[in-house]
Amino acid sequence: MHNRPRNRVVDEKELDEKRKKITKWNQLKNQIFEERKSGAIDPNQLPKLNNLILLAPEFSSFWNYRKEIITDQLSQVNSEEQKRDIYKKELALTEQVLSERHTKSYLTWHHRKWCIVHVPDLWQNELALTSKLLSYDNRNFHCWNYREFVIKLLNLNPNQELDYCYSLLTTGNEGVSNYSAYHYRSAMLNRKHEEQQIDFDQLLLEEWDLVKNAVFTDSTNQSAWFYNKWIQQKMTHSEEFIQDQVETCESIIEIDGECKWATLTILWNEMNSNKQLSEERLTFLFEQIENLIRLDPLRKNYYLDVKSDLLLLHSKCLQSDNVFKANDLNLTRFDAIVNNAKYENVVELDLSNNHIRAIPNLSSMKNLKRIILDHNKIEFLENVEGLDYVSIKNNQIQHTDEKLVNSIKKIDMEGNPLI
Amino acid sequence: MAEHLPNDQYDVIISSTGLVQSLLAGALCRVEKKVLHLDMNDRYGGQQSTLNLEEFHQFISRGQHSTDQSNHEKKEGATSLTYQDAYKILHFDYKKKTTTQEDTSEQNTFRRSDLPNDMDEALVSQSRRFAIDLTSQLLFSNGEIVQLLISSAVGRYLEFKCIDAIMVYVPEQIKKGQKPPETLNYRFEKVPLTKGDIMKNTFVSLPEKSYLVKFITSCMDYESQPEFQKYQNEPFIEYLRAKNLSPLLCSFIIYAIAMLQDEKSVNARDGMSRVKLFISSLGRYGSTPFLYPLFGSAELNQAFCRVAAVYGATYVLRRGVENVVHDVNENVTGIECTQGQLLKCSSGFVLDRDYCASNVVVSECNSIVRQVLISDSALFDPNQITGKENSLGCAVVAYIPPGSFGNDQKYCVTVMQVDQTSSCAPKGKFLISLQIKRDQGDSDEQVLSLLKTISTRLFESKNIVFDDVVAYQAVYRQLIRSGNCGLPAFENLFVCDDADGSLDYGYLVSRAKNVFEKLTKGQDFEFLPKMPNPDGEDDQRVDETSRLLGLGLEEQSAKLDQEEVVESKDETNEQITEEQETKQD
Repeated sequence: MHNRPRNRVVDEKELDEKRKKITKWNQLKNQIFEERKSGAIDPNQLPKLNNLILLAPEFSSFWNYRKEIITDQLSQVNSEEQKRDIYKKELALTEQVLSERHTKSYLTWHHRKWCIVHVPDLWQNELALTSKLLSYDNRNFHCWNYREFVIKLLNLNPNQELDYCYSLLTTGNEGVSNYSAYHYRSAMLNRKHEEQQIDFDQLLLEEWDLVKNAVFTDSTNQSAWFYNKWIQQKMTHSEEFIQDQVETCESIIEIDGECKWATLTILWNEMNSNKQLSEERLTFLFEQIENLIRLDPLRKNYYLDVKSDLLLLHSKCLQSDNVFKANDLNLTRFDAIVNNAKYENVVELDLSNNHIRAIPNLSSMKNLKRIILDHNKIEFLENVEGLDYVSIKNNQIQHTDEKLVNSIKKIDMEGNPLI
Repeated sequence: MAEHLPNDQYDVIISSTGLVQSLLAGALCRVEKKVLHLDMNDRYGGQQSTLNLEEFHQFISRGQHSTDQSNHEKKEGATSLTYQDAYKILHFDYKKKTTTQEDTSEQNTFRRSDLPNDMDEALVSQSRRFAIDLTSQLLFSNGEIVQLLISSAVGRYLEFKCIDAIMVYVPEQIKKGQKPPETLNYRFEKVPLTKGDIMKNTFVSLPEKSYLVKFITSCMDYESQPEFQKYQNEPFIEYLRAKNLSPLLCSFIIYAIAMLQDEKSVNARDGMSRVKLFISSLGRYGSTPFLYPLFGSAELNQAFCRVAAVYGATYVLRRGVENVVHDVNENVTGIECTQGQLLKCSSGFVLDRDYCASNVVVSECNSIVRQVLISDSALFDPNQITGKENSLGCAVVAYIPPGSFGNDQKYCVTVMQVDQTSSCAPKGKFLISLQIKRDQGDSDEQVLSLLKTISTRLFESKNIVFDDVVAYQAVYRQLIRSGNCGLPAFENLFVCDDADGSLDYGYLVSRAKNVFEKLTKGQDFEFLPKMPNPDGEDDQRVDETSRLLGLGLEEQSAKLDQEEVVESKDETNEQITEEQETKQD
């Protein structure tokens, strides 16, 4: 706990025992180091390392020493079977370490990977081992990564893994929010698409179906919604799909009364859509953003950014002479204009009197000559090299770069707290 | 045994080894009361008895057991009792021997079985492997009886199986816009109880999933919700509808979760307290909240009787009570048992409704009608239920809401299927029971015919012919008697009501505690305190770090002599290597 003094009662007996253990540990460790220094690269050293590794599996020297001994052993042995036996002994040790609650030891997993590649007859077993460990802790990323590694070794059909994830997601009350399982599914989908040449959009639609069931079951479960964001991004624009997403979210909001994630998902979808939104719809979406700010005040700035994006995307601020003027709109950023092909020909950008905090990379706006950003909240002068005119009065800029300023033909920086 | 008991002075005499009485016997003996526990039958269990096939067939073919003492001379200070058990047999039949079996029947002249000679050999030879409950009973994982089993450590004697699935018989769902067909198809659907089950369920629609999860989550603190305040005294179904629960979900909740007999009889307050009990037991040992004792329900009764016996109770089977003896102050002082011995009790006498005063015999009241089947085919396929191929078996409880089989079906039918995985049947056989409440005055024939129709049709829907697979069938009625039964209301005379067909044990435990309190008035004893562990305390262990470093409890000197340390280290390391090698085998 923060700000709480540690007042542990000092028990002399306890301390004494600890000292004993530390002394013993140091003595054993030093002994090993000395033996190695004097050239002891032989199998007799291995048993001495077992207990020490069990005690401190992240002490890399012991694992590396083992690797040295093993490599030496392997070079002296001829038959494949003997080689495998050597590896199997190592695997047994790593298994012992993992089962003694050191399930997140980087070095142990690494050693296991190092060994398992040479023992194909145990690959199938590895799946069972990872399943078991995942049943104890379903977010152990070491375990998940290892599983993916083994799948590649086995060249397994991703369908099997998709089924495995599905069973994890539909177990008990906690399964539905198993973030790792969703993530793993996305990795498997990529493989399925590549190997079986199945249309990715088709796969994504199936995932959307899975997500639908998950979010109706538990609409506050953010794992499923995040997974949906990925699906949304990967899905090639389909108005039908977007419509389905929006309708589903609206159903959920109707049942729940209010749901932050459903509202946010609607917004994300509307931003992806190429359809021009009506005034009415825009007003409705802005209301939803106000709702989100109320429901989730911690992320207020994020929602204001979303609102700015939405405003700019559907604005009527582009005038006929390629001047873009958007003032007094409480915009917090203007990234949405920059990356949009619609505004490629803009010559002048006037965004004064807003709440903009930073200037994004403007290189895609190839025709931009003049930029006016008076009365905003910009802290750094950047990304405006080579422009004809920059007006950046009454912002929060404290430093300037001489080279940058010199590259601009005319610059107006009145009202900034320059040092 | 026609002998008299050597001891005739006890604190409490208990008759019948039903669950309430068994709990009482155990609890009283643990607080050093002297208890005499009698049972008219030659088995333990009372109305919760579990019988093998031979015993069950005897029970069925004998019919109702009663003894009439009304012709005994009336004595001063003694009330004569009549014994009449609650059962009336309505029907039974069994698979007969095939002709090939008949030919070899000569070889079985030494068969010591009381089963009929013409019964199928397969049934006879496996008779002992069956554990048939006289009434269906399940334990709530977080209910009173399990808490008691844990706190008293009596659970040590028992093994349990978690029920695999709870099913409800429901009509097919009609999609929006579709015209409902002439006759609806019904089938059993598993009730999804965890979020995972609900998510993968394909029978429940998406919005229904949301409402169901919300309902389940909200029922742990439903009392504070304004909606509940409004509907507390209204019918339960109205409250459920107000929570946007569809007819399908209402079926699940009323029959499978609240476990009610029909939808009208209960108000929201009582309904929700039942729901809460169910939900709070979810997930404790499995995906359903129920446990079932391996080898049948009577195991529970026996475990508590065992406790009582260990702590000094005297058990006598095949002994009943003829008269209750009392003094002028209207206290029961003893009983005269069927062997004619007078046995005295100083604190009290506990009996059940099998006994009543001789001039008051109940023959009509509400009852439960139960059909027991031994079948070669399962009604609920274990592979489908457990999701595994080659599943060994499963335990399932299912409900058929009233009206599913016509208007004659006034109450819910409870179906249970157990098999070898509950140690209740031999491999390849299934024990199926159907149970329904019957109102006083209804016709036996009608209920019998209803149950037969239901079980036949259920098999038919799986394309199985009833007569092909059912090797044994019995239907019987069990009375639910209550009220005074004609005995004077002595203060130290306690009567245990008949089992009322409810699946769980809550009421029975409360009753036992209630009587215990009265019998030990004012002494404030704990009900079944923890039994001491016969295996002794856990050994002192060396902590893991010390063990790995080679430091042991027995290490004498703090001096870390080089040689000494190397030796002991090698020893333990050798041990580890050995262990590793054996692990790989």
